[in-house]
Amino acid sequence: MTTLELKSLSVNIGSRRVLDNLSFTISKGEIVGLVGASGSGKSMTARALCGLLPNHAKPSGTLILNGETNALDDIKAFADKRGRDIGLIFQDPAGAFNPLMSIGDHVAEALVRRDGFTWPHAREKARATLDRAGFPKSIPAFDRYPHEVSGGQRQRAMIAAALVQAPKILIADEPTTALDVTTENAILKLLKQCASEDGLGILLISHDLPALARIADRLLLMKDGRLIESSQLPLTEADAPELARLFELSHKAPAPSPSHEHPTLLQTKAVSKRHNNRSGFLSGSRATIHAVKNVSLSIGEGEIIALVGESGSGKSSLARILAGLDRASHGDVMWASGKGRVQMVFQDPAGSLNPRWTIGRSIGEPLSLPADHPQVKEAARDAGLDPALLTRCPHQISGGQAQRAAIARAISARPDLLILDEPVSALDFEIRDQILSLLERLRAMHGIAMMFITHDVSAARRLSDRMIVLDKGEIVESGLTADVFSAPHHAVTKALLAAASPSIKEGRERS
Amino acid sequence: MSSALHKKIVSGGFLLIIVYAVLAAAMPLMESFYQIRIDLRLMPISNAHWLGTDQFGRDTLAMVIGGCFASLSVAAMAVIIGAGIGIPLGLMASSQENFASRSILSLNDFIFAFPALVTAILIHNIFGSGIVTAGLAIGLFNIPVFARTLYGAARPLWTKDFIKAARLAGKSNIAIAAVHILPLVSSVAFAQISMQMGLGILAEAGLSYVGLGVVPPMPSWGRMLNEAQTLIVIAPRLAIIPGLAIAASVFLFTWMGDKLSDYADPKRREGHDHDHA
Repeated sequence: MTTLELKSLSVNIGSRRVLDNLSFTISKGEIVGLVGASGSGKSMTARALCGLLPNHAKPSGTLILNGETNALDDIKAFADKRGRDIGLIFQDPAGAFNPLMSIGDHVAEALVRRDGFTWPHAREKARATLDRAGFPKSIPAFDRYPHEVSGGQRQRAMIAAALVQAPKILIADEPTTALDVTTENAILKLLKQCASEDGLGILLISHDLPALARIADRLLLMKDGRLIESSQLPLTEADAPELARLFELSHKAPAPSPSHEHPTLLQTKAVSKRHNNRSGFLSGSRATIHAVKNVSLSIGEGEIIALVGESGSGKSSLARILAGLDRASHGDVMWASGKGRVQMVFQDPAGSLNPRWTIGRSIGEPLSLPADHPQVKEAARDAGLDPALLTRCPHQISGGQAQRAAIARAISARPDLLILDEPVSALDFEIRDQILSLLERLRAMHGIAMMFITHDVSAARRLSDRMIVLDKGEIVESGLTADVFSAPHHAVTKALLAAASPSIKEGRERS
Repeated sequence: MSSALHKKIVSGGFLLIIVYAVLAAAMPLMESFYQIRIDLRLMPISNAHWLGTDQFGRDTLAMVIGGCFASLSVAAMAVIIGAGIGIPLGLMASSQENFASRSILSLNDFIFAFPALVTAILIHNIFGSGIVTAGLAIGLFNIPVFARTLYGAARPLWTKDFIKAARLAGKSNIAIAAVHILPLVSSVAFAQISMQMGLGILAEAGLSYVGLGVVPPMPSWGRMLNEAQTLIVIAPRLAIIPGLAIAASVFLFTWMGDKLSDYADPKRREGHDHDHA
């Protein structure tokens, strides 16, 4: 049974057509995955469905919801109905909450405001919905404020706030992008449960194709504001060649690692990093947090090591210590050559370049070279960046190009060790593939040792010789990447591998 | 507001400030007009005296124009002292969290907590009256204002990845502050300079009003107000005219500061909401 049918939705902003003739349906209990590169119009589609388009946008088309036809250009007439029947959850639950209102009251609020419930009655229903959304019973939701719970719990509360009004359709715009893999899986499972048990139709927007493939019934692919492919899962190459190609990109087979004997470049001996957190100004109690705990590892010359773990596992703290940006509380970092040069590439390409500097000036910084120096141009070319872009500023180039610039800056200094901190997790899968290929090539060209920090084990598999799994600051597993993949020992490793190894060809997991 | 219109308004403001500076520079030319001439006292508005004269027979228009000099020079000196010391301190405190940065911030709070007028009286008692004393007294209280503002603007920048990259490139904190941080916070600094100019003019008027400002015969708007208060019933214009001069110039500078800080915020400057398609 079709719950929602969208007919030829178009949106114009000024003279630009941002969405062009979009039509699709969502059935009762169906999960429809919407994929596309950033800027392809995914979020704009979600906003059009909820009536949240920016003021200057002009929508057209019709939306048939529960058998009722509504013209999309008349936003006001439709607003109330839409709010009730279509629920919406966002990528960043923190931004969607009022910091001065308890979690529970957020969920109860709509019942009071819209349905005329009394507060006690609304809170009772809110508690039940929070339970349904898997918000831990042990947390007193009406006494806790958004900043006092974790990101995953906030996202559950957000889902509860959407579910409490019993919508027919739920639109989830990148609901798990800000979460780590394990939490992501739990949230996706919850969404799936909502679809199969409550008959909720879900439009799930994501750039994470493998995650979508695990839970969606159908995939839609957008490009430049148009719907270019639509396919039931499991998908076949004949049906959806582009989707199949993108999926292959996200799971490319590992590069054969060249040699296995690497002379040691760097060793750490029982490195620890402690933070003392005082809980309040007057309370004397201190909590000691071990960001990194007794980590001993060695990195060989020209070797690529993947440092894998969930967020908060201490990966970045360890990287800062190796880079010399932070000092270890205990233990030593020893370079075979006495002192090593380290360069880093960061997760957010936009934040890693000075917004006012030209790209060329940023690349020339480590060697104190002027922006138009031939060596700067050479570094740019090495990183696959058109030297014509060197005179531009960061906001004038794309995220992928900015990441190439950051890589060019790092390699121009000819470092002994290049630390890559989640270098591809903010990028679309197509750009991600290009950057990973670039890193493979750079290793082949220059033989730079790399430490590749990621929670994306498929990228780790593709690039690394050895893999180190970190949990709560400690190394829980390490070994040759191929071995770790074929026979993981530790529970954390297994969870990380399980979270990232679906197969689109097998379709959704039947649980 | 469109950015073209915004630009016009800001350049209009700059033009007014230049006019103001020209008037201040014209003070020596005015000197002959504000000589004491008891025979001409309390003349009404006329062709010879466009804004009349005061109880000593001095031309009010000449006094107002002459007053620009005291206002502008005291405020400028205060800003130079405040910005010259406060900006480096703020940047230094923002660069890392250690004993030195905490000391700088605590010292700031200490100065903030001190009553400004009492300090001005103290400085007046030690050094006597005059432009330099007034500028020094006001400038001292500008230091924590600049330090705080720059600290607040620079602090979040230090955690950016491009700063880490600069550290890895071997740059020292001072070099990073000079080439990365300062250019990025310069618009904030300019906005604050303009605001403090306005407040400095107000403070100079206040000090001169209580007799701690510039020394006669140099004209000052604050002292004009003081001298007018006994005549408020007979000749209210003697209080109203310098009052308007103070209000207009304070408004001009603080308003410019506000527009400049709009300019500092790229989201407000470009005037479009950041939609993700």
